Amino acid sequence: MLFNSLDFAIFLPIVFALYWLLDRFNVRYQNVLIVAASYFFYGWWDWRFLSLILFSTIVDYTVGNGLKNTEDNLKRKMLLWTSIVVNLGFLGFFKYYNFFLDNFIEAFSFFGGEFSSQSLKIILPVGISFYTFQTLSYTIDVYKKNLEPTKDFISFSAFVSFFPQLVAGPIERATNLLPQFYDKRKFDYSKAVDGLRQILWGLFKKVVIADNCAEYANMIFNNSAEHSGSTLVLGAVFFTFQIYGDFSGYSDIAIGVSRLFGFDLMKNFAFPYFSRDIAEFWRRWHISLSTWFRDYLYIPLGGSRGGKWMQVRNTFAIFIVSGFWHGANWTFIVWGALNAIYFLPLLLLNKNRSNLDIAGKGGLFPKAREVFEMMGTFGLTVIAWIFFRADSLGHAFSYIQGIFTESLFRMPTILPKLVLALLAFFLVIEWVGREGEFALNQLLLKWNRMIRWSFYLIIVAMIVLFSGKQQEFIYFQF
Amino acid sequence: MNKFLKDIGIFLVLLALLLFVAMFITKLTVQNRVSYNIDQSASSIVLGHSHSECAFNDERIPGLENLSISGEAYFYTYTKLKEVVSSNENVDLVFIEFTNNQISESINDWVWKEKYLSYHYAIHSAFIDWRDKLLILKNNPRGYIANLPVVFKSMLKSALKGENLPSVYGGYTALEGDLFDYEKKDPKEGENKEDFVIINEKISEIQLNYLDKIISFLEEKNIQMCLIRSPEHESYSGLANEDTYQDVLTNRFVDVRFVDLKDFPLGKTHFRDPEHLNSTGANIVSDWLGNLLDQDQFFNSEKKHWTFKELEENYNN
Repeated sequence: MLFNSLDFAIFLPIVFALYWLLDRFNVRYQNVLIVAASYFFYGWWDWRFLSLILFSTIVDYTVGNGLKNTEDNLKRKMLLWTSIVVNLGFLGFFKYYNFFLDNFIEAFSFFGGEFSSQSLKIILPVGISFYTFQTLSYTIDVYKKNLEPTKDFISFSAFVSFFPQLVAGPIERATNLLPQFYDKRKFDYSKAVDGLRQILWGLFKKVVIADNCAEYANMIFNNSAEHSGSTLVLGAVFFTFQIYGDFSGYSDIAIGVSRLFGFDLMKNFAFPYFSRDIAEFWRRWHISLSTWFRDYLYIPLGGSRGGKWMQVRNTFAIFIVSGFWHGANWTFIVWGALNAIYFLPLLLLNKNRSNLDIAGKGGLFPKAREVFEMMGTFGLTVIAWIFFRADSLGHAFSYIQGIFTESLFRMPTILPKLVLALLAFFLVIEWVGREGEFALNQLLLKWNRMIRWSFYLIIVAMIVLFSGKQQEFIYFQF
Repeated sequence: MNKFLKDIGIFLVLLALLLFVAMFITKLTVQNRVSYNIDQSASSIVLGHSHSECAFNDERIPGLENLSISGEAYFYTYTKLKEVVSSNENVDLVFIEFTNNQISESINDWVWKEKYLSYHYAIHSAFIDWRDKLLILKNNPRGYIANLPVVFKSMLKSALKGENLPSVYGGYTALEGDLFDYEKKDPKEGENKEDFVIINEKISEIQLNYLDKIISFLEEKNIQMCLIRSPEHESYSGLANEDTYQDVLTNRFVDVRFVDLKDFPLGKTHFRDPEHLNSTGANIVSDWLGNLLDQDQFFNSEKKHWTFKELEENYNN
């Protein structure tokens, strides 16, 4: 079920009404409803894969309780590895089987060997990369004794399958989300209204920004050989905004919907395109995944201990794995590696934590230096996104080659003025609201209700009037 | 919670009011600014779907304008016809494509499936009677509601541009390539299967009802009408329901003038695919129809249904 569909517009109010009607009873009833609604939400796409979620839930619940019952290190390690093998096994099979098989055959034939095998027609279950990482975080935290395992199977099932963030995150930590299922939720007016504001802005990002940009990004990327350098730049910029609008829009809707049900999810995006260096960008982009890799991969690998060489090795490891997490294609791996290369000078010069606050904090305009830094960082991310969007490495390299020609200085042949105007409006609102949790969080709050509501009505009107051709959320495929 | 529900309620009411007012104003603006004017010298028109769109080159037929458009069901033809006739007083003859796939029940999708709503409905929605709209709402409420933004945007665009719809949408389309090329193509490639109607034996009562409405409307306006079947190649799969087609024709439209060009002598080089003529075929057929239009006695004859062979024998085109 897509957030920007009529189905969801019907589903959400029904679940919301039932949920708060159950408020007077034990919290368990609300949790049962959440599990049922989440399975329905997921099953609407393909009910066959519900068994995967259920299996993953049972395994991790059992492993968690097994870990509580034993202090034997070997047994504990075996339990942990059971969870890792099951979760990553599913992920590996559904997402990476064909990739490894194809590359194995290619490598084998390169050395003169013959190996014949057929790729399987595997459907990738939506959201598998998200919920497997979420359940893994539970087992690892229990193993590390950072979290008490739960005895409440319903709460645990609700934590694994919670519909707002089930298919595209934020990838929640058990330490943050699971305890919220134990306590009775109280309806909080300001939290719910703020949730609605975030849903509205998320829809705007997805329907107006991402879907409109997608049309032009697809047009340009799909026929990149025929376009001038300047048009190719524009295509890459459109994709840069498409992926941001698409993914952060989804996260905004997910967080907003959760707030309607009394839950607080972690922040997933914090105005990443206003970053002044790549390290800051990665603190602001897909935060739930970056911190997941930091806590469960970078730190166990040694993190920043063990000298510069170890730091560099670990940094490359998490960027490359992060790229590979996005999909079974060399383009994602190169995208990850390229970001690691961008990160390297900051790491070597110990400047990777120099921009911790948002640009232009406390003021309306940024300093000139900040503007140049933001533009530079934005430019680097645009180049990296070309690898992310391209069909193959060859396509990415020819795309970049196509940019650096004399046609770079000609007017782009595709110049959709309306989309550019919408992007300008979007950037202004994001900039003005950048000190809040999301752009509309604090915006106009001090103004009277009539002005505020008029502004929201304008946003709704823009969603209706300027919606692009409906596209599926990009991150569903991951 | 009560305050929240109250606020949501007020916001939604305001939103609904805003959208209603916006839709209403846009609709009125469309009705005032959008036109259905055709060339003043045209006294006859052709309406229908892609078969007639590709068969009649109106540049070769004096006094005729081809207003056919791919994927148009009689539901939309009816609205379009009413508007064209009321805007162009000199129209005195109307050809309506009537072919095998147009009676098949599967063509009902052309009325209410999302793909058609976002195009045909969006173009004419400001002019469609609310009783007709109910038909869509009844059969595809989800699609109807989901398409409202598209419809609204389309209306707004037409209103702002002051579009003349017949000159923007539809009209003769010259196709290139022939049936030899078509047969060489991999059937999995190229053609969008959804664009072809899968013929089934069940009859579309909705199509026939709207055709009845078209006929009644033209009778009321005292405008001559003629059903026409564009040439089809013998390999056209739609001919599978030929018996049903003939039954419908003789039982329901016995008094309506009908010209059957199915057996027009054309070869594979004249078709782009089994159901559409290419430009070479269209030019031959258009020249022939132009000659027929000059034969006044044809339109006064008692006999209503004519095959190509009978016309050749009687009017020696």
